Amino acid sequence: MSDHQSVIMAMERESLAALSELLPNEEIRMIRPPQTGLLMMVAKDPFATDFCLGEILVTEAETEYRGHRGYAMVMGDEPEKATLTAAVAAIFQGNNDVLKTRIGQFLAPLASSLSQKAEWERRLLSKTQVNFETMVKG
Amino acid sequence: MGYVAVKGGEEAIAQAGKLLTYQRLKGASDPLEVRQIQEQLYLAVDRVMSEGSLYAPDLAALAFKQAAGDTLEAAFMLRAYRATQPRVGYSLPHKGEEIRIIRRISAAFKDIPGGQVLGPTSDYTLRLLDFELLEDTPRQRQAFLQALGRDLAGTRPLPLTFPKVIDILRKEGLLAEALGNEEGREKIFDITRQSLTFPASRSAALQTMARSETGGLLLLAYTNMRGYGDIHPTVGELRVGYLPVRIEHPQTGAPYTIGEVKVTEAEVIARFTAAEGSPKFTLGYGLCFGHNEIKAIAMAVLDRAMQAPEPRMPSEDQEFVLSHLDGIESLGFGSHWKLPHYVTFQSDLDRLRRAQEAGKKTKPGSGKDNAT
Repeated sequence: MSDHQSVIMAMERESLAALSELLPNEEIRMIRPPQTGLLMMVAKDPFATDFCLGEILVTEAETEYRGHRGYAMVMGDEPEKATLTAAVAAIFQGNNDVLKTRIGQFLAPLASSLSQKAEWERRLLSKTQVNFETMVKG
Repeated sequence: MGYVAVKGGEEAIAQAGKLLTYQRLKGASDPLEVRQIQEQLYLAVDRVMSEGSLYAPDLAALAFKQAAGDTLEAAFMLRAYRATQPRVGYSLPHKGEEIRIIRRISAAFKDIPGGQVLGPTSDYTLRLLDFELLEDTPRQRQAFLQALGRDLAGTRPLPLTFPKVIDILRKEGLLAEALGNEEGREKIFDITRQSLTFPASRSAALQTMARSETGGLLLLAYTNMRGYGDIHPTVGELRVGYLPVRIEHPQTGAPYTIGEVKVTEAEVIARFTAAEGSPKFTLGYGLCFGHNEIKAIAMAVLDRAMQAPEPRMPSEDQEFVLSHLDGIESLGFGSHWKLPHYVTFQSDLDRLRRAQEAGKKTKPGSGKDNAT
């Protein structure tokens, strides 16, 4: 998952609206409107046998910005997030550096906040690491 | 006994549906938000997703609310929902090594590479009621979180991934590698697209168990553990965490991560076998959506049990095990007995009465004539 996608997926409604306002929506063409579907998750057992673990609800979308196509598949029934992710993907394939910087600056604090929380949780987990001692009879 | 359809009763049926909703509304408490269920009753949500075989936490929480906490009904609703959605494809295959760990233990080895991580677990709690939860206020939550975060300075974040414990056995050549996969490792069976037939391929068996009902899976595994079988499993490794989901990007063809799913993985090591060559340990494997340790362990035990060359017990019989594990199927079959069977039952009743009458006529010492 791109950094952009992970941040967009964690956004609340207000942040999504703010990101949408940043984008040149009149220049972004929807190639494939957001559509939900099922992705079958395939797992591999320890003996290299692939098997179907179960399906995941996903939303796909595809957009175009100045000749560059952006595709997104996100988890859940999330049409807005899928569209925004696809739009950002299309923009970052192009050469509008001013716009890319503006989006990057908007997403950076949210990315940093997510990263800090993830690290905090990993420290909490670290404190549950254990070395059991075997008890000896006698 | 067969089922014969009936008609009528529309008004009563509609009213019965409304009464079901009324049962949820008649109390004085605030409405439950789906997000509250998703975040605070997460194990129930995980179970519904796993048994419904659809990873969609918000919809699973909605189903749980609609079903008033009945996980079987909620899983049924998720399965019904999935039937309305198109299949967009298959993910790239993912291994347990890729799980971003939040819990990882071994009952086989005290010291494992990377160490044991207890993570969030109720294993060491006394199951005593926590009456403080009766007053679950935002202030108490805040105080708890502050206390939890104390003394973290100097603590290194847990690594994201860990090596597999069974690699210890593999390196020494102590683990049997062949698992009798008749169809080969490349061929993947999808029971949502093909009917399950027996003998089932390994991929079909694992998929069937991954979407099975926890209680059913545990029951069959428990029969084996108690003595109707001889697996004697040891948990080589139990992992809980997040498995990345990758697809092939449709534009570039490169792996593209769309997110991650919470999973539980169990590898049980079973008693060695000396059928061919030197004795080795064998492995049973379990993997399911969500945090559901007992389901993953039961799946691993049954996976190993079904490797028995000559099944002697129900838990070793692949057809017996795999045919009875699906919660939605068994719920449906069990529930259909509530449907009207009036005509066929009347037929049975008539036959029974006639048989009794005939018996009275032929039996010596019975009947009115002899009673007087």
